[in-house]
Amino acid sequence: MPDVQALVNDFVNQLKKRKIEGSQATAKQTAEVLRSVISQQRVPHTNQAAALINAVRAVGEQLIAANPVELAVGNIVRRILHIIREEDLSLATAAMAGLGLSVASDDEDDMERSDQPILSAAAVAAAARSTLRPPSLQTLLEDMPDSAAVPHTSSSGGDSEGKSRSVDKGSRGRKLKHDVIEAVNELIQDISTCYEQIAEQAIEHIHQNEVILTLGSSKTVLEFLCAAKEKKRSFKVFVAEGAPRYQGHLLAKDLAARGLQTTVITDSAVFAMISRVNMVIVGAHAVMANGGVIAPVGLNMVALAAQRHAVPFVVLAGSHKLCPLYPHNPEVLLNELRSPSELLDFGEFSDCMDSASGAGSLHIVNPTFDYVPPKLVSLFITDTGGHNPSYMYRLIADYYSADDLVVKGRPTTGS
Amino acid sequence: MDPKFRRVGFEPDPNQSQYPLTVPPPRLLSERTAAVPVPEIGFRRQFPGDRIPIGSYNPSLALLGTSPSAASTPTSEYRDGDGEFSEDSSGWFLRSESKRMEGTAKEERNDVPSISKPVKANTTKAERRALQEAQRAAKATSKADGRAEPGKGVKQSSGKKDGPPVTSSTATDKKSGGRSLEKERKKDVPPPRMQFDDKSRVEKAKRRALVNQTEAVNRVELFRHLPQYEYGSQLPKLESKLFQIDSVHPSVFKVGLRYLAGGTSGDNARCIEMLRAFQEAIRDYSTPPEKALVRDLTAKIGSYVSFFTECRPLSISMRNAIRFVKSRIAKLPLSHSESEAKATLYSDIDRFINEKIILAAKVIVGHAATKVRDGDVLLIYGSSSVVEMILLYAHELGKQFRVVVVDSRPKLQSQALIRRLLAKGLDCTYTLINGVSYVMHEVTRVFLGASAVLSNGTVYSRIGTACVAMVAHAFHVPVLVCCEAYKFHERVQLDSICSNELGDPNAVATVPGRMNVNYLDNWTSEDNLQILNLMFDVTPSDYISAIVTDHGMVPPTSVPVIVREYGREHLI
Amino acid sequence: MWWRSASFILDRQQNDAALRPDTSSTITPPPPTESSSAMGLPTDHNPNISAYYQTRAAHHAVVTSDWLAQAQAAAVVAHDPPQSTSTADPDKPFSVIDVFNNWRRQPDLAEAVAAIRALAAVIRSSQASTMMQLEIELKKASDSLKAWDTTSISLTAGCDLFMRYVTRTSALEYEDFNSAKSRLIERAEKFGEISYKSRKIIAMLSQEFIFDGCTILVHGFSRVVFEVLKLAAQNKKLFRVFCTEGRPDRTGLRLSNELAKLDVPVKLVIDSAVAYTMDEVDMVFVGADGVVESGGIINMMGTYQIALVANSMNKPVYVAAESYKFARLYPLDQKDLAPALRPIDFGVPIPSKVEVERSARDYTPPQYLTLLFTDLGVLTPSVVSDELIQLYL
Repeated sequence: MPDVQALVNDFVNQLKKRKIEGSQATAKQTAEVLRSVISQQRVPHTNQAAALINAVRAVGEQLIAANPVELAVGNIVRRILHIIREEDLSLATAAMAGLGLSVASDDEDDMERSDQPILSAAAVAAAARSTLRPPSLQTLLEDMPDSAAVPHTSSSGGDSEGKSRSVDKGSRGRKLKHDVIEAVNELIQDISTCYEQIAEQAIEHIHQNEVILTLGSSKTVLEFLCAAKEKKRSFKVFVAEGAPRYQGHLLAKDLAARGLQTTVITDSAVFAMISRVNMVIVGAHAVMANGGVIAPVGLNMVALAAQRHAVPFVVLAGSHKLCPLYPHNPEVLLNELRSPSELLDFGEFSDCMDSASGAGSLHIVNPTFDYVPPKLVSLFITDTGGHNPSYMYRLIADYYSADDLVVKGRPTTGS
Repeated sequence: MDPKFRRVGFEPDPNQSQYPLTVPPPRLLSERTAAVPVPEIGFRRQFPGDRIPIGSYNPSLALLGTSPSAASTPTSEYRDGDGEFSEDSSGWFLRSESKRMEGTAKEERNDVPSISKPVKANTTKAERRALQEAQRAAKATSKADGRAEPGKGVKQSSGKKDGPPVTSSTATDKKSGGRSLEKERKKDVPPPRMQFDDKSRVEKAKRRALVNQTEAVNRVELFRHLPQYEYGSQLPKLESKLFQIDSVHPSVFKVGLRYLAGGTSGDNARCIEMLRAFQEAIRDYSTPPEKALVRDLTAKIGSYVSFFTECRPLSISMRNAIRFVKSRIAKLPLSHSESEAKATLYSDIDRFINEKIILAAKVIVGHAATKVRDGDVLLIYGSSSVVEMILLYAHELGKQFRVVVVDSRPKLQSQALIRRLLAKGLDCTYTLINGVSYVMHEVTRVFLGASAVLSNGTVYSRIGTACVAMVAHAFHVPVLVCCEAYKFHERVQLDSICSNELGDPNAVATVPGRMNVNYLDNWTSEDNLQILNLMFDVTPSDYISAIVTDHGMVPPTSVPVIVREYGREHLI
Repeated sequence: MWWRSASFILDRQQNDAALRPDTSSTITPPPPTESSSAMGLPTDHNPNISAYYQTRAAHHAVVTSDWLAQAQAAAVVAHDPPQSTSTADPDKPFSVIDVFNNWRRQPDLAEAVAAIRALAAVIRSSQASTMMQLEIELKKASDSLKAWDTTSISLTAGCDLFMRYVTRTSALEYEDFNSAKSRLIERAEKFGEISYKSRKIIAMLSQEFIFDGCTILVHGFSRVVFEVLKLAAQNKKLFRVFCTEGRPDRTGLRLSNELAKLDVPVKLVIDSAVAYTMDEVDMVFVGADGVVESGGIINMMGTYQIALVANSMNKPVYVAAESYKFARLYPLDQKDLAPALRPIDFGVPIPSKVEVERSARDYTPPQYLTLLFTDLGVLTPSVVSDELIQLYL
C-alpha cells in the first residue's frame, strides 16, 4: 500500500514541522489518515481485529512519535483502536447470539441491554468486556488474571484480545472493516461538530451582563461566546492578549465584529481585572485523566487568580482532547519551547547569545503550554455536557480501552 | 488561676475610667503631644484668620479685607472642586488669592494664573524695591504670627474638637493632641483624585489646564473615573511653547514634558527628576513684592505640582516627596533671609534625595543581599533600580546565582535590564509573564520592586507584579518586595481598579517587531472594542513574605508602623 | 519493651500452638487479655491492643536488621503448617479464626488474603449440600471473622469482597454444587497470587511517576510501597528516599534498612521533621490499610499529617494500595473509625495520671491525595467510590 504509506509520511512530516495548528485539525487529520490505513489494510480470514489493531498501532506509533506533545494524535489512535475492539466485540456477540448483524452501535449500554436475555452471549460479553474495560473490583475474582490482568504494561501487542471467537463467518471480515470505517467516519463527524455541541450549552452558563475573561484564542471559546450572543444575551468579554502569540488580538477583533463588548488587556493585567470578572472561560490543549489541563501558556496564572477571587474557571474541550494518561511533571514533559525570536529580537541580542566574551549567558524561555492542576478547574464543558474534573476518568473509560493506553511498548503516562 | 489573671488585666484605672480599654501606651502619648506644636498645624489652621493681617499691610487689599468671609468662602469651594490638581490644597487657595490681589492691585494683568518671573521682569527697579519693602514687612508680621502660632494651634484644636473645655486630666489633653495630629495627617493625604467620570469637573479642570490633552476614544467603562488621553498628540505643541509659558519654571516644564512623553520610567528616577526641578525653581526664585516667601513658594510649588499632574498622574512616592518639600517650606524659620531660606530648602531637598532615595537604596541592597545564597535562582520582574542594584551587589560579593527576568508587555522594560546584567556577567533567563508558572519551579527567591507600599500591607507596583507574587506564593517561593520607606503611604487600597493609571492603549494594540500581529491596527473604528493598558496593580499582602526597606526587613503587617514612624520623622 | 526481643514471635506462636486445642473449640473471639499476656506485655500499659496492630507489629516491627532476619526466619519456619492444620485434622472442630490467624502470621501475606483463605477453608470443611446453605455458613464465618477484629479494614474488605463474589457470580448457579464449590475454593486459593500480582502491577504502574533525580518521602513500612521503590531501583532510576521514623514501632527504620540494601540513598527523618523537609520532597508515597468509600485512606498514624503538609506545599501524595483494600466505610472524621490501639514506649515511665493517645492509624480525606496506584490502574480518589458502587449495588 504505497499510497497509504505516502499519506502517513506526509502527515508525519507535517506533524514534525508543527505545520498543523490546533488540536482539532490534528485530530481530524489523524482520524482520516487512520481511516485510509484501515481501508487499505488487507484483512486475513481469522482474527481480523488483531490485524487491524496491529496496523493502526504501527501507524499510530509513528504519528505519536512525530509530535509527542500533540496529545490529540495519541487520543485519536487510541479511540480508533477502541472502536475496532468494540465493533469486533459487538459482531462476536451478535454472531453468537444468533441475532443477526444488525447491532452496529458503539454504545456499550445499548449492546448490553440487547444481549442480556441470552445467557451464553452475556457470559462471553462479560468476559470480553473485562478485556475492553479497565479491570475493576467486580472482575477481580471473576476471571483469572491470565491474559488481561496486567493491562497497562503488557508489552504484548495485539495478543490480549485472545477472545474465543468460535464463529467466524466468511462475511465477518468485510463486515468488521466496514463497521469500523463507519464508526471512524462518525468519529470524524463528531470531531468536526464538537464546537457546535459545546456552543449549544453556552446559554446555560452565561447570564445577562456577565463579565467573562479569556486568554489567547480558541475557536471553541469564540463559538461558545458567539452562540450566547446569538441567543440575545448581552455580556462583556475581557481578552488577555496571550503573548507572545497574541492570538487574543484576533479573538477580540472577531468578538467585537460580532457585536460583543470586548476589551483587550495585557496578560499582566489579569490579576488586576479578575476581581471584576464573573467567569473565566478558556480553551484547552488537552485534558488529562486526572482532570488537569494542558492549556496555552499563562493559564495557570489565570486559574490561580480566579481561585483567589472565587471566580469559576471553565474549560471548554472537545472529547478528542481527553487524554487517558495521567500527567506527571507535565510542565516539563508535556511542553514545548518555541522560538526565542518571539520574545527577543535576535539581531539585538545576538552579541549576548555567546557566553564566550565573559558576559553572562542568556537563556530565553518561551514555553507553549501551562499545566493547570485539576483543583483549579471548576468545570469542564465537553460535547457530552458539563463535568467535574474528578469525573474525567469516567469519560476516559468510555472512550478508551485499557489495553491501548500504551500504544506499542513505548512507556507513556506523561511523555 | 486564669480568671484571677484576667481580673488583673481589666482592673479599672480610676483616672481613666471612661476609656478602660483604649488607654494608649505612654510612649505613644508623649510622642503625640510632642507632635502637637508643629508649626505647620498653626500655619494651616489659622488660615482664615491670618488673611486679614496680611491684607492690612497691603493697601490695595483693603477693599477685599472688608469682607473676608465673602472672599474666603468661594475660594475654599474652588479648592474643594479641583483639589486633585495640587498636592496641597492650600496651594490653590493661595494661588487664587494672589490672582485676586493682582486683579485689584495691577489691573493690566488678570489672566496669568500666578505671578512668577515675568512679573519681576516687567516691573521697574523702583517698583521692585517697593515690593521688596512690602514683602519684608509682610515677613515680619508673619514671623510674629508664626511665633504666636503653636499655642494658638493647640488651643484651637482642643477647643474645637473636644467641645466643652476639658480641664481634668492630661490623658484627655493628650488624646486631643493625638487626634489633632491625626487630623493633620488627614489633611496631608492628597485629596481624592479628580473624578474623571464627573463631566462638570472635567470641564472645569480643562479650562484651567495648561496641557490640554484630548480624551481618548473607546474608553473602558470600568475606568471612566481615571484620565485616559490620546498620547503624544500634545507633545509637539507644548514643546514649542517652552519659552512662552511663564507660569511654570522652564526646568519644571522640561521635566513635565518628559513625563508626558513617558520618557522617564522608574519611580525613583521620576521623583529625583522632580525634586531637581524644584531645586532649580527654588534657586531662581525670588519672592515677589508684597508676598511672604513661605506662602508664595508653597503656592508656586503647588502650581508646579498641578502641572506635573496634568502631564502624568503623580506616583505616591512623588506625593510623599512633595509633601516633604512643602513641610520644609512651611517650617522655614522666619528669621531667614530669602537667600538663606532658599539655601536651606536646596540643601534639604538634596538631603532628601541622598538619604531617602540613594542611601536608602544602598541600605536595602545590603539587607537584601544577605538573603541571596549560593546556588539560588532569583526571579525578578520589571526593572526596579533597587532590585538591579541588589543583583549586581550580590554578584560583586561573589555569590553564585542565576537570574530569571520576567518581562511583560507592552513596555518590555526588562530587555534593557537584561543587557546591563549580561554585561556585568550575570547568567540570565528571560521569559514573558505568561511563562512564569513554567520557570517558577526552579526559582528560590522572588525580588520585586514597588511603586508604593500602602498601609494595609498591599504593594502598589507595576502591572503584573501581583501575578508574579501570586504564582510564587502558589509555588511556595518567598517573595521579597524591595521598597524605600519614602514610598510608604497611609492610604489603603483593595483592588487595582479604584486608583490606577491608564497607559496608551495603542501600545497594547501594536506589537513592535512582529509584523504579522496586526489584527488590531485600526481598532478605534470598532465601537465594541476597547483596549486597556493598566499601569499598576495591587498585590495582596498575603503573597508577600517580607518587605525590605531602609529600616530593615519588615512583614507586610508592619507597614502602618513604618508609615507612622517615618511620617513623623519627615514632618518634623 | 515487648518487641525488643525477636523471640516474641516464636513465643507467641508456641503459645498459640499450645492454646489452639482449647480455643479452637469455639468461634467466639479470644479475649484480648489472652493475646497480650501471651506477648508478655508490661502491666502499666492498657492491655487492650487490637489484633490489627498485632499483625502490623509482627510484620513491620523492627529494631535492628539482624533482629529482622531472625524474626523472618522464625516466621518462615512457622508458617508452613497452617494449611495442614486446617485440612489434615478434619475431625477437629473447625475455627475460621484460627485459620485466619495462621495465615495472617505469614509476613508476606496480606490480611485480606488471609481472610479469603480462611473463608476458603470454611468452604472446604463445609458439610453444606446446597449453595444456599454454603452461603449462610460462609456468611456466619465471615461475620465472626469481622467481629473478631473490628479494627482491621482489609480483613473486613476481604471478607466482603469474597462474599460478594460468592453471591454475585451468576455463573455459579448454573453449575452443579460441587463444581461451584471447587471453583470457589480455587479462586480463593489463587487470591494470594492475585494479591502478589497486584503489588507487581502497582509497582509497574508507578514507575512512570518516579523520575530521575526525584526525592520521595515515605511514611511507615508498606509492602506495596517497598515493592514500588524496589522496582524503581531495579530499573536503575536515580532517586532518593526520605523515610520517616514511624514512631513508636519504627517501621520506617525497617524500610530504610531494606532500601539501603538495595543501594538506594536513604535519609531517615523523625516524624516531626516532615514539614521541615517537605520543600526538598518531590512526592509523597504512602501505603494504605484501607481505602474508604470517599476515596480517602486509613493508614498508619501520621499519614494525615504528612498529607496535610504535602498538600499545603503542593506536593503530590501518591497512595499505593491493592484494590481489595477498598472498603465500604465512610469515616467523616478521625474519631469516626474504630480505634486500633497499640502500646507506646516513651523510654521513660509515664505517670499513671498522664493519658496516652494510643491509636495506631488515622484517616486521610481524599482532597489531600493526588492519585491512587492500584491494580485497577492509576485512579483519582473519586474512582474508588465508583468502583465500590459498581461492586455493591
